[in-house]
Amino acid sequence: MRYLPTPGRSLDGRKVLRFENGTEIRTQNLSTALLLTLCICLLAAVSVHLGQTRISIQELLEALSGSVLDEEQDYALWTIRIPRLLMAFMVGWSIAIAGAVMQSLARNPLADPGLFGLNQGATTMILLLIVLVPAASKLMIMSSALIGGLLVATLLIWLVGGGARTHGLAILLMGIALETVLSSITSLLILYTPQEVSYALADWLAGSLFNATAENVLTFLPFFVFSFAGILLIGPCLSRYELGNDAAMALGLSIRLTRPLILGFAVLLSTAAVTSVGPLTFLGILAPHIAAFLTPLKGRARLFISGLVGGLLVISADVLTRSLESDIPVPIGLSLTLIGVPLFILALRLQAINRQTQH
Amino acid sequence: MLKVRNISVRYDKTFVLQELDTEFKTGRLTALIGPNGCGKSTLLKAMMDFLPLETGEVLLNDHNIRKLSRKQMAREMAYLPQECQCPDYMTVGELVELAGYARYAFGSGPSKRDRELFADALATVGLADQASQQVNKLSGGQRQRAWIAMVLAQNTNLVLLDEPVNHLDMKYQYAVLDLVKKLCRERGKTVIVVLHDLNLAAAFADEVLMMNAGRIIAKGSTDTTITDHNVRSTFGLDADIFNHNGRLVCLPCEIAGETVLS
Amino acid sequence: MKPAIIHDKNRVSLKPERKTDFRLWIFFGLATVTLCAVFISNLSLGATSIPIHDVTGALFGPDTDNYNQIIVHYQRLPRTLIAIYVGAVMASGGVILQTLTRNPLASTSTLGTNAGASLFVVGGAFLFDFGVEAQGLAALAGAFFGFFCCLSVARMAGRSNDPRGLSLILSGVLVSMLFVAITNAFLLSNPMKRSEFLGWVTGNINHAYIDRLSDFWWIGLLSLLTLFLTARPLTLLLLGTEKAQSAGVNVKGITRIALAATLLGSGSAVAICGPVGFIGLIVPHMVRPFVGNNVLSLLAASVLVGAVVCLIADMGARLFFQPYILHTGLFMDLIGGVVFAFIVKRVYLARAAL
Repeated sequence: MRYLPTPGRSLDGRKVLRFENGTEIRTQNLSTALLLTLCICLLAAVSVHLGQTRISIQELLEALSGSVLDEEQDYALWTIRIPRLLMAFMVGWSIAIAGAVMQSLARNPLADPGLFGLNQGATTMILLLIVLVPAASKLMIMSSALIGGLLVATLLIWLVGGGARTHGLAILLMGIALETVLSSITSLLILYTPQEVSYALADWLAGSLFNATAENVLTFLPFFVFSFAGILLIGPCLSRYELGNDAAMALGLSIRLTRPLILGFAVLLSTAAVTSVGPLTFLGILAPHIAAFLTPLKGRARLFISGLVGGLLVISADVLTRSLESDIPVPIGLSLTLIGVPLFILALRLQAINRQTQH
Repeated sequence: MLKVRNISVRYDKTFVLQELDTEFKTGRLTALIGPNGCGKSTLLKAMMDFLPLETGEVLLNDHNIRKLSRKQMAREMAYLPQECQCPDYMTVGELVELAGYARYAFGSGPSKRDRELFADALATVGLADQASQQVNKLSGGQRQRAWIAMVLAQNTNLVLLDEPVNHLDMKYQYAVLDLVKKLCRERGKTVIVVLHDLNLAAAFADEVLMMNAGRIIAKGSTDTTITDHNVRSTFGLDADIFNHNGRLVCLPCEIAGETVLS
Repeated sequence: MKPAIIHDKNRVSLKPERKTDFRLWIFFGLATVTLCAVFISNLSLGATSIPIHDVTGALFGPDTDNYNQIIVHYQRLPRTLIAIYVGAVMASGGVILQTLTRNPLASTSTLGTNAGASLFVVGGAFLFDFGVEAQGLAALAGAFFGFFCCLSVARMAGRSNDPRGLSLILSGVLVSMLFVAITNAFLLSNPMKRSEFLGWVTGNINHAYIDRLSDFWWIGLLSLLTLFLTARPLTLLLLGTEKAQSAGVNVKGITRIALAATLLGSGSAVAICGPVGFIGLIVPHMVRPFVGNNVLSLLAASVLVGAVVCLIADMGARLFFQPYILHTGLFMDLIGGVVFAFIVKRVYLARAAL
């Protein structure tokens, strides 16, 4: 019975579950996480159900418990829909967490991994690879993306002076500058390569979940697992970062050490996501904001619940994309905005109303 | 005991601190006083090892602070920056809980004693009832006290405060400094505080350290150090210093030289 | 220092002294001369160099039998005119946006305007088969749409009281990124039209777009005129809203008029040759050290220098990479990104150091 948490109250009067070693989980956060998981399961069922080949819920449950479906259903379920679903969740999870981390690092609620040029670094590197080595393997693409992202991150830290004294905003603005330069290089590649190559590049850039295969999911899995280690390690530092560099250092945080660590963590997550489905703008901002609206968050719980919200958003965007039938395939980024932005506005409005009634 | 040995700090080409030597005795409240830009805040930051030193060293209990890790330092010294920023979502309770970071073992959270310390810090500054409020929604005086609660909750022997009474009205200036003085008396903490108001320094500090242009002008106990001569060489300002019912009062008279503002 | 002198110093910033007046005239004279020189050399330099007398001949009554004069008349002159138009309009837009937001990083490319306009043009052309005029209207509407998206994102997410309006820039860049992504998705959906618009989307100053210039030039002219008329109250706005209001400026009205003029102008420029970014960001910073903060002289100087910069960039894009002709918009983006980094380093990192 030693390891079971005991209920208690935190300093500001919230209900928490407290473990033996002193770590706490807020009850409200826990229930929100459970609720989100439930939503994800429901949406997952809808997502698997949706498509040309019909698979009923009953058949789905049977398939999951081990029985064999007919060949067509089996193919649709295990080769297409399940990998796609898993990919959607993992990508949303990673980008949302990278966004939450970056917002703490830059101390700005609008910081998005895309703004720091990290995505663009990965993209440029991949495009260069595709142009130079057309027959590059998945692994090569993945590693070149990581190298690109890490290069940009290193360049960023070097450009802003690396010291602990520089403001988070400076990193953000420098990131925008790098992003501009890199994106013009990307445009150069698209414009001046032969037509077919150019089309392939642009197609890759647009990104979609259509090419999510079991193999891709397996390549992504290590990053997903790694993100948990990151959450455990980095989570407690982040709220201290938001107090400003000096205050954070006075509380015992070494900025010189943790800043590259945090940036590297965000690079890994966001470049892995970019490599798999292409850039998803705004998700990194939307997910943490919606999460913070659902329940008051800090530290590890903030990352964890933002990740869940991110996964939920991408799955629902995918469901929307597939249920809209049109000549022009709706890019996942667009349907993500269609779902995320109204939610975001709703959350902010409700918050404002809430504030007014309090006074 | 905090010793400063021969330290110089420079930003770009200008030296902000020049070969400074001093020490801060345990259990005393020392006020740093000087004109704008004379290096008071820089001295605090140098003592927290936030800045690269050009020369010299800072010794904490005879250990060079360069050799200490941030966590080790955070267990010995607490620091309140001049401009405190706090994200909108944070409540007073959360802010105070952040202070425990340096004391936790890897992967664990606050112990029972830590939680008592947090509650005690909140009670000491009189914010126990406001624990669930957001920091940014408090009034200026309460907000400053919330930050001081965070510094207290760090439970260190040394406390460095950078202009803690800026932007506060007269009542809160006295309330905050009174609190700081009490901590010094009752808990034996060593407090170094940057102040702008000589009268406040005279009322609360045990010792004052007067600085100008990165050098120490005078240092010693409050009664003997705040003199018209020292005030003139620190601020370039003639002042009447007199004793009013046992308290030192400093009234500025006239600008000493024409060179001050030009 | 005596109070009287301080008072005088305050007046200097609004009304230049005679000495700075003189410097202003020299600056404007030099800028005009440079503009003429760059104009002529842009016409004469290229894959084949064309002698000056042919250039002047082409300008004043072209001879349809002379091959050189035909090149100048039908290829280089249109290109040059477009470059001048775009440079002038974008640079003045940058001045106005930087004045209104009091942020050194504001420009039509960083506030979502350019991306919004190009999204609407491409969307219109791909979904509804818009012709050139309708595309122009779409660009104008898109410029407004982009800017207001940027504003609303900043207002909703950046609730913090950001003194330098940074959340505005961030949301502008974000909105642009999203719009560019959607534009690219449109491009992909139709490979036939893609090759037609691919160059346009990256900002391409090209003689082929002269029809568009002849359709839309009056919009830019109108917007420039409006901006010049509102320059004086805008200068007062630099001192802060309250100060301007107390000096008798109708702040809301002036802001709206200036903003509308800027958005219309830049929308028309995008309609002509696609989003040529970053002139609006760079040029105001180039001229500010010479002409000071007075919006009237800033505007005039930016129009001149913007045209010069755009012409030089166009020349560079044509000459440096021969036999290829680089897209001017891309060339500007490359340079613009580096300048952006430089501004960040100068303005934001220098202050952070202390």
